Amino acid sequence: MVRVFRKDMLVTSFLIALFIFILGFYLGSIIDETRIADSEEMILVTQLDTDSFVTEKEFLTTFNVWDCPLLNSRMQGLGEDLREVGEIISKYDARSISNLDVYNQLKRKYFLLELRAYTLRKQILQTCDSGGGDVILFFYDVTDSQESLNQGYALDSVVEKQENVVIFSIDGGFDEPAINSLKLFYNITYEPTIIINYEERIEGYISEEEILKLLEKNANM
Amino acid sequence: MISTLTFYVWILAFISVFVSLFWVIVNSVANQYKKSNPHVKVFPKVTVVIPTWNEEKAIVSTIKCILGLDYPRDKIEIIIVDDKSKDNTVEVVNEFIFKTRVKNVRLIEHEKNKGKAGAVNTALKEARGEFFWVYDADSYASKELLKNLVARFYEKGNDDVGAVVAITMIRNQGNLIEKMQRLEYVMTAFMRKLTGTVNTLHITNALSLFKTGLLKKVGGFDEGNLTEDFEIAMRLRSRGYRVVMCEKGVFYTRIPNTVKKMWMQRVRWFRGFIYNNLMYRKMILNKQFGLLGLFQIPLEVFVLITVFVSVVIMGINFVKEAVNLAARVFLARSTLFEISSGSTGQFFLGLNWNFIFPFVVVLVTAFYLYVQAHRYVGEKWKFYLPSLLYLFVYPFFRSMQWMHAALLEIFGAKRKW
Repeated sequence: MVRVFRKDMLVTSFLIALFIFILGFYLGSIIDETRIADSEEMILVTQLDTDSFVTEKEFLTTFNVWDCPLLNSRMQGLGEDLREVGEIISKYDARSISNLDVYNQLKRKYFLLELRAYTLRKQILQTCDSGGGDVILFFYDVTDSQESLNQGYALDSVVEKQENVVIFSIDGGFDEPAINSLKLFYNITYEPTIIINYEERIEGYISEEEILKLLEKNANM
Repeated sequence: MISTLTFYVWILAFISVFVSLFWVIVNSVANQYKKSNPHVKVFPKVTVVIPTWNEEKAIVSTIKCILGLDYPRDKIEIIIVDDKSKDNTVEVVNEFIFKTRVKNVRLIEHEKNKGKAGAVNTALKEARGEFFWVYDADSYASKELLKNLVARFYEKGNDDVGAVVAITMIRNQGNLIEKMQRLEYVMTAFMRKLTGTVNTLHITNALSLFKTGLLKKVGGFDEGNLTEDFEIAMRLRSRGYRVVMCEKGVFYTRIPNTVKKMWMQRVRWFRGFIYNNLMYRKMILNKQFGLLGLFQIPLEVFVLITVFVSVVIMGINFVKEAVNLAARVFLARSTLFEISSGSTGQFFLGLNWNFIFPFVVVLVTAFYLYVQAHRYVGEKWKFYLPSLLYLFVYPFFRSMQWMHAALLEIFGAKRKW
């Protein structure tokens, strides 16, 4: 056997490894760009859906031809779409290695859309009075809080059982004036906290069974 | 945002890719040279020592195997050192000597058990051969092995060689535990070839051949050591002697066939590794020892440290993930394999490429080395259950074995075989 070691073997290995990792980062950045583009497109579509809904609502208000079942059903769909968009953006954000600012902007847009939909839902409720299903506003802590995660799972289960429940999830720690106003309004000092149907405020984790009981009690009132 | 865990995985992946690529390059450069085909012009006398302890079943066939080697019989001196066997090993050996009337087989009996290193040292004192061959009683060598081992010492530029190591393969491949270890022996043989190529080989094993005079000069084997074969290699290297690989000829050894035996053997090896590296710590990052001191030993120590760090990190993450999974299953009533919302494209984009990419790169280089290792030992590469278990399940157990070994060393547990 011959002794073949040369220093350039180490240098070459290092350089190839470096090249592979630079290539990896480059591919990672391409994937990130694609994620951002996908998120922007999803938000744009949801924004258009919301605008369309607002326009439709204004038209109905102007001509005084309220179609509550239609509005409720549209609102329900909008809520579900928003939930899906939120899930995908938070997944992309967790996988991202760069573009922190862009993701913050996307999240801001998303939360604002949620707040807009939440407000619209309230307006419909005031006009249509009933039949619109339940609304839960969920403030969560994104920083490694198992309690918030558990609350999210319990809410997922509620949605599975009660299809007419719409959940708007808000990152309680996200720095956005509109979110801060909402937190001030509901006196949110701890996450998780949920607000059921704009009024009932529950701080800390609450189980699926208890939520369902509260929803049932609200429905009977 | 890059998490600490992601950063840690990247660092590990980078080092893994760098080291794997280094071995790939070493292998491809080494392959450009023809395998040395040593011819023995002289047949120096070789003392073969067989330390025995309860080897009544295997000892006769082992002696016959040695006498049947492709090496002049009168140039072989066999010394059997019985380490106070409880069975009939002594009687069986005496009967063999009496019946066959062979003159070059001697038996030395220990009055009390001294361990393998003690038995080998007893033979070393009596050895008259120029070379000293430690031969485990449950192993057997291919016919041409001894002459090829000897020839390595006589190759040009090998004056500073202190020991020659043979390719080790396994004898018993019956059950799953044994089959699982087959791959380990294949990879070990290949890695020894590579480390031998860049002169960083620093381990000897059963059936390694030593220069008798040199062994006596450095004081023989360390009798209190759990891995005396590793220690002697480190001692030789620390004194400027090389350990080289013999690529022609193979020896077959018996391996543990139960989880418990395998566990104990590995813990012993790993304790020996920790102990001997601490003993020879002066070699770490020492320019005097070239690539061995600056690359090979630090790399092995680094791997050991990352094993501990990884076990802690994986343990914490495992608990967190388990809690989260339990919460998901019980609170959201969802299944383990929940289908996520979104399109196929979104599924692809949602994958954790931060982990997948380095993992794939490491896997590809590891696969290349895996194939090369099989080619080296002349076996067809294949993936079957034991290989997959060895590659993907055993590492977790090995980490546990390292932890076990480290704890025993930290708490100063008694060193016994």
